[in-house]
Amino acid sequence: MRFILIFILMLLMVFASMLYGTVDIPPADVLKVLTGSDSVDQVYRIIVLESRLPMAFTALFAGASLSVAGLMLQTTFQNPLAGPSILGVSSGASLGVAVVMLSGGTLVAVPGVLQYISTIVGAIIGAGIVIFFLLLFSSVLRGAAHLLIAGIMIGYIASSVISLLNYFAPAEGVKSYVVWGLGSFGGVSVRELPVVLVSSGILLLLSLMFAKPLNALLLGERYAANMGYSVRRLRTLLLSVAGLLTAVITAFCGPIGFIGLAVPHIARMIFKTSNHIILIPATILCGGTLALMCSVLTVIPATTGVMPINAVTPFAGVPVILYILVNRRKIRYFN
Amino acid sequence: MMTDQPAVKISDLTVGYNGNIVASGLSFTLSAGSITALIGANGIGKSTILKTITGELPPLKGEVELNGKLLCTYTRKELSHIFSIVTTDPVFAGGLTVRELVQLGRHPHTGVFGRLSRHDKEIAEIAMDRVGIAHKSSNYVAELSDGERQKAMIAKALAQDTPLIFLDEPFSFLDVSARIEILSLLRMFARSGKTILFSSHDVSQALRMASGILLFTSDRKIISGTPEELIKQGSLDNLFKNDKIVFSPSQNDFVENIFVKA
Repeated sequence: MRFILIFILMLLMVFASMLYGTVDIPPADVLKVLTGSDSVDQVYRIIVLESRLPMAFTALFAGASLSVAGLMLQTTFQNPLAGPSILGVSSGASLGVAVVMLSGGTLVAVPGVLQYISTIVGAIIGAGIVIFFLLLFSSVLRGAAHLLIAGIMIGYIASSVISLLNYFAPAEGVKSYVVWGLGSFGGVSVRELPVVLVSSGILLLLSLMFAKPLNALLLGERYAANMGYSVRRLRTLLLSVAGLLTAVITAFCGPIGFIGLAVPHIARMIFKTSNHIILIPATILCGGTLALMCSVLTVIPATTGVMPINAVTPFAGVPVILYILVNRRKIRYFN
Repeated sequence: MMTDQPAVKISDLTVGYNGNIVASGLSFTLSAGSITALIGANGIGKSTILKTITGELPPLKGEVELNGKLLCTYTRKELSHIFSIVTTDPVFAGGLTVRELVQLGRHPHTGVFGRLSRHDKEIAEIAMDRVGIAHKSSNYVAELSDGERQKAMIAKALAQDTPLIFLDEPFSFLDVSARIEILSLLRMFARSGKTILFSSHDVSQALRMASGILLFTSDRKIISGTPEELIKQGSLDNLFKNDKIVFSPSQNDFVENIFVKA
């Protein structure tokens, strides 16, 4: 029932993102484009099919991917405030992208066609390095807050290296990197869209396979080991999937904050469970929907163009986090 | 279920971690269907011994045999069918229902997605019933009292359907009535053939309820025997370093010995 309601909300948001944009298109014409009717302005067709539709699907998959990554990080580290951006995974991916974009071909030679592939590879390597350090620290740092602080520190280091790269980079590289860094679901072209959908789709399907071991991890390391898991291997696998999800999305959309942190909590509260067999699909659905909502909000006041997505996500994420912090004692899954 | 083969056999075992030896030369056996308490002062290393028996810590020397087979020759998966554990570690399962928690015990018996067969579900229901938590099966774990929570974890261990159950300080956060209730549950399981080993620093309770005692003395040796034997031998006086603390059989508890000369 709840799945159906959120699914309907998601469809509404998909439709809203077809209707709203920087150009006013009459709803009737949008419908004509979507139903494949010929009697419609060619410009409208291009805007809806090659700009709005890819943007909606990118938002859907980006939101789902970041949220599942956040859920995996939260359960793996038994830390409700973990998330891809707070633990520095996004920053790591950004650093990888910065190396590719800002070195202007001096560090990494990039032929035009392979540009986005090298961006993905850069993001994966960057996120992977951060994941490696998090794994390293997580075996030493016991307190929940300590790992978060370590993650934030790793993020600062990554940012400072990015600043250095910016400082020495040619002006046009800096401009395109800054634009990328603001975050946007609109930067994915029709040609690149299948890459985003297939790679994050495969990873999301893969994440469903982890529902059972994630449930075991709710009971902590000793119980999980007693259920036959190699906890170390399991953690590495989970963090790799979370890192890949973050890296792929970051490569295409820029570092996007708060969705990965807030959505798992929204899903837990709406579905009233910590059971990952329900929670993973719920997180995918809620994540996609929330990202679409944010995406629609970035174009609604569109007199001057699309707002950066990171200008909107904190307004969706921060209230959730604050609510959780304030009501910590009342919320079941903390106790 | 009683067989001649011991369920647990420890020979010349040295335990410790990070290069520190906690105890050495440990040897004892637990027969199948027995309930044994590992007692010792707080912080002396009962947990280290238990963790070595469960393979969480590697033995520094010596051997651990479970069900007639060396611990190190089991795979992880096999071990999950041999023993289940109950700890007092914090769990983050508040958002699961008691039923979901107990069903987690079926993990080693289910496939990739953890789909439960009717048989699996039945076993979980029976486990909740035997532990006396069935009436809370639809409640969230977060809503349970400490004692109920511990019962749920024991039901989970029971659902795992292993011949051995190891419990690490299972009574730490429980009041007396919950302690007695859980101990009599454990006795019942032992009678039905399970081998139970639990650690506790509540000595008088353990002496009353366990069929066997492993006494971890202050000089880090293990003395094993029945409660009566240990009381008769006066071994219990070795539990604490303090000479003035002695065991009084008549009170079945530790008292201050006012006759000890300074």
